[in-house]
Amino acid sequence: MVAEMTAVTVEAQDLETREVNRAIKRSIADGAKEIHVLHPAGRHSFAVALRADDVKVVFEGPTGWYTAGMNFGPHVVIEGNTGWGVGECMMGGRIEVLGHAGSGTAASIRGGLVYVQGDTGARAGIAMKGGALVVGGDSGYMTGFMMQRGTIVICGDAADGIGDSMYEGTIYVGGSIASRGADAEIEEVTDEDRVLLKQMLGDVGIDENVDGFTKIVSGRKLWNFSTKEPELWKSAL
Amino acid sequence: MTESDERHEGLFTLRESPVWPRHVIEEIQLKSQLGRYHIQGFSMHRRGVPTLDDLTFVPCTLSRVPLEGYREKCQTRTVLGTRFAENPVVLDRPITIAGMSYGALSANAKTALGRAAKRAGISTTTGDGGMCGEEREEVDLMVYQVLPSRYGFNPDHMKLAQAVEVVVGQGAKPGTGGLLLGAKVSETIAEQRTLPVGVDQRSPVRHPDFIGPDDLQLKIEEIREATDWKVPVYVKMGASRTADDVKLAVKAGADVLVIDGMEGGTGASPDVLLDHTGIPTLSALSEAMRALDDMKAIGEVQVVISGGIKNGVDAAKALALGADAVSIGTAALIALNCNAPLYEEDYAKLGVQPGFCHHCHTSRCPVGITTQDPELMKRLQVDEAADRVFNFLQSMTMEMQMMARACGKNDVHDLEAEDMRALSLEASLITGIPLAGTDFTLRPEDIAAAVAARISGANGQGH
Repeated sequence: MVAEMTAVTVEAQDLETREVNRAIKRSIADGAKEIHVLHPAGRHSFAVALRADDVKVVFEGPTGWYTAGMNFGPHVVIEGNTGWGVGECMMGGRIEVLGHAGSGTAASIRGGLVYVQGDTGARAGIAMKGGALVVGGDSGYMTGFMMQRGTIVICGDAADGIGDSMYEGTIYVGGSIASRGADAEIEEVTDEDRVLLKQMLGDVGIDENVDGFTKIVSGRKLWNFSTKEPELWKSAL
Repeated sequence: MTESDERHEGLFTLRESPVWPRHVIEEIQLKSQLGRYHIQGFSMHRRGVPTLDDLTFVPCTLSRVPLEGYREKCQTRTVLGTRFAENPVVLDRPITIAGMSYGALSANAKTALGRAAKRAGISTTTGDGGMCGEEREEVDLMVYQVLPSRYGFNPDHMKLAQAVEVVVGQGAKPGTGGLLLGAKVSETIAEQRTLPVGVDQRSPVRHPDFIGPDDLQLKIEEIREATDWKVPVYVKMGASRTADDVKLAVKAGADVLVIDGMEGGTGASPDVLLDHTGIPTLSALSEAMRALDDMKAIGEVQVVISGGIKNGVDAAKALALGADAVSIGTAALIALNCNAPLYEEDYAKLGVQPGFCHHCHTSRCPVGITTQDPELMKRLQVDEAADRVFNFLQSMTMEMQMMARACGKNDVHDLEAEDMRALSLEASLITGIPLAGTDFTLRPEDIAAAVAARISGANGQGH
C-alpha cells in the first residue's frame, strides 16, 4: 500500500515545462494534497488541464501565460504576477494570483473562482460562461467583453469599454468606470447584490465597504437585430 | 410619338442592365427593408473564380505506363500530424469531414456524419458550439476544435479527441466570426453554448486569450501540455494571405494546416463576405505549398485543403498539387440530402426550389439538416443518411484511385503536379503547371529562367 502523500515540492529550475506538468500530475495521481513548484520563472502553461479535487498547487514565484488553464477542480496559488489567460476555460476550482495578471484573465471560464490581488490587463473575464472573477485592483480595457454568464467584481477602477456586448452576467465595480461598452447598462445595486458582494470579497479576504459599487448588466439590445437601434448596431458591428 | 413616349411602344426586347441586373435590384430592395447586410447560408454565388476544374490530368499513354484501372491496388492510407504528436491521425483515405457546428447542423446530421466517417475510417470535426455527444458516440476519429467563441468548450472532451484544431478562421468568412441566428438557438443549443435562448449569436473572431502568431505558438504549447503531447494540433485558416499565414502557423508549431478556400460553405454569413473575401481554393493550395517549400517543411507539416471540394477528382487534383488530404463540408451535407428534391412545398415557403436553397440560417431546412426544429430534424433518418454519406465517400475514393491508376500511381499520394496540365492561363499562372498545348508557364520565375537560357544560348552561339 502506498503511503498517503500530503505535500510535494517540484523544483522547476532545471526541468522542461512538460516535465514540471508531468511531475504535478504524477504527484496528484500518487495522492499528494499540496504541491509547491519552486522557481517557475515566468514560464508558460503550468498546471493546465488538471482534473483533481482537494489538491492545492502553489507556484512560489511568477508564472507566464495560461497558468492553470482548462482546469477542473484544483486550487492553484501563484505567489507573484502571471501572464495572459490565467485560468482560461476553467471548468471549476480556484485560482489565486497574489500579484498582477495579464490580459484575458479568466477568459471563457465556465465555473470556479479566479482571484487577482492586483490589477488585470485588457479583456479580463472575456466570454465568461460562468464562475467568478474578483480583481482586487484595477481592470483593463474591455473587461467582461462578450461575457455570457457569471460574476465579475472589480474593487478598483475599470478602463474603457467595460461590459461591451455582454449577453448576460453581472459586473460590479468599486472604483471609477472610464466608459461602458456597447449595450452595457447600469442597474441599481440591491441589498441582495450587497450581500453577494460581501460574501465574494470575504471569500478572498477583502473586507471592504460595498456601498459604493456600481452594477453593470446587459441592456439586451444586441440580442436580436433591430432597425430601431442603428447607432448601437453600427458601433457594435 | 414624342421622345418621352418611345419606351411604351413595345418596340424593344427586355434587356437587363449589366450594371443593375435583377439580383442587384432585389438585393438593394431587400437591404432597404432589413437595414443591415444580407445573410445567407450554403456557399458563395459569384462566378468566375479559378477552380480545380481548370486543371486536367494527363494520364499515361506511351510515355508512361498506367495501372489497371479497375483492378490493381492503389493505396489511400493517410497520416496527419507526424511533426510533434505521439499519436498521429491515421485515415483510411485522404478525406476528413470539416468542422460544422452542432447548432448550425441538427444532431441527426452530426450523428450521420459521425457514423459515415467511422465506416470510412476518416475523422469528423466538432465545430463552433462544442462536441455533439451523439456524434462522438459514433465516430472513432474526432478532431476537436478550439474556436474564438469557446462555445461549449470542455477540456474533458478535448482530451478524448484524436486531434485538436485551433481555428483562426474559415474560408466562407475569413476575418469574421461565426453566426448563428436566433431561430437556431434552441433551448438545447443555448444551454450547450451558455447563451440566452433565441439570441442572434454573432461569434467573436479573435480568440479570448491570444491574438497574433507569437501568441498562437504559446497557445499550441498549452494545448500540447493539456493533451500531454499525444495528439496532433491542427491550425485552420481561411484562405487570405495564405503564404504568410502558412509560414507563421508552421513557425508557431502546427502539425497540420487546414486551409479553407473562399468556396468554403457556412450555415450563415453576410453574403458580401462569402462573395468578396478570401482567395480561391486552387490559389490557396498553390500558395500554401510554395510557402511550405520555402520553409523546407513539405512532408513535415501536412496540409488539408477545403473549400468547394465536390468529388474525388477535385481531391485527386488537390493531392497532386501537394495536399495530404481534403476536407469536405457542403459536399457531405449534399450527400446527406441538402437541396434534394423532397418536401418541395417547404422549399417554396422559403422562396426557393431544390437545387437553389441557401437558407441554412433560417432553421427551416426542408430536409432536416441545418435545423433545430424537432419536426424538421426527424426528416433526416440517420441510418439512411449515413449510408448516403458513406457511399459518397466511397465514390470519392474510387475517383481518386481512378485518376492515380490512370497516371500510373499505386498510391493516391504519389499524384503530382506533373500529372496535370492547366486549361486556363489563370490556372497555369497560379499553379505553375504548363497550359495544355504548351510546355512552359508564364510565371515570372519561369519567364526569367527562359530568358536567361535564351541569352545563354545566344551567347554560346556567338562563340
